[in-house]
Amino acid sequence: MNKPGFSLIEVLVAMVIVSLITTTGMFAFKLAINQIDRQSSLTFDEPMRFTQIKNLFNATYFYVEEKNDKFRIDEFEYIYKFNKNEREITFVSNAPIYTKQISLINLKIQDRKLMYKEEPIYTERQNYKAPVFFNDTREYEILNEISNASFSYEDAIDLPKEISLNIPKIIKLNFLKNNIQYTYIFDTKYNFYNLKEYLKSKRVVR
Amino acid sequence: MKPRKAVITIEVLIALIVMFSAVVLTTSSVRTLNLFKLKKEKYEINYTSVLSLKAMFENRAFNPLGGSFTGKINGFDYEMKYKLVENRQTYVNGETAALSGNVGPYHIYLFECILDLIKDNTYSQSNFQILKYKKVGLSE
Repeated sequence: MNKPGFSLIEVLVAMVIVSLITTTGMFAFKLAINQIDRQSSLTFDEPMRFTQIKNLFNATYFYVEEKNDKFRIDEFEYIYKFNKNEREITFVSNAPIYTKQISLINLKIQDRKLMYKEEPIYTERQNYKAPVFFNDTREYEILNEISNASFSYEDAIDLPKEISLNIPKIIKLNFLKNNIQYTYIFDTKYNFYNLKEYLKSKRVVR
Repeated sequence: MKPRKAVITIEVLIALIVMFSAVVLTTSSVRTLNLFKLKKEKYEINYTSVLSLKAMFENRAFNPLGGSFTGKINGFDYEMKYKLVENRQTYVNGETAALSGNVGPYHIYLFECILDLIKDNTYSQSNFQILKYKKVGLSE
């Protein structure tokens, strides 16, 4: 049978169908993009990680050690613990990422990652625990895909030398990512009360 | 075997329209996703750079008469201009729970800072304030 060509109606129907499909597709795509936009703006990884590390350093804290003397129960020592080198920092912070307790924090550059671990230094009843990490202390990956990473430090310009020699004011995390040299800068903060109590006890554990 | 009929002009045109729509859709999708990715990267790098610089400036000595700092960070050229907004001499109190009460007189300076970040043809500006404390009557 010899089939004739498409009639005008057929062509018009085809065009309507095609334009409907296109419009629906574009609308669905736009909705999907909006959805991605909304979700991603809530979970930007890098700024969130940056803020978490910033808060850790901003809340650098002393810990109070009770002297083991039954007859002089008021004897306390306010101790700042801050061990640092190019690859690793260990200190006490009042704003750890995963718990609400004052914790011992460790940030370590390992392979192409920045690893993080924390261990509370007080029990839930505020009893003092030794500031140490245990074998089962969990380690988290906080930044990845970073190369040539290292920490560097700057001392405070407006603090007594006794403190600034031991605790840096500025901590810099330098690393290479996507062939761009990045520097993340964090600062430690002390309030006047901490400083005064610290100066009273005048002891720093290295 | 039955010979196949050749396609007519209308069929070809419809096929062209469908193909054209597909190409337009794909191109616009890729373009939008790329724009979105760039926007996200720009936000991330601006966020971390501005907060890093703010932390750094808090440890710099400021001139009460005003001034500026320039340099490079995270692929940006930056310029930060600051000026004194207000300064007061007052007593600073410790935390309310502290036994020690006030910790003595301080001269406190409030600086208004404007930070410009420039990279290739992009430019962004941020504003923030920095407080500086100077102990009165004590030399370091």
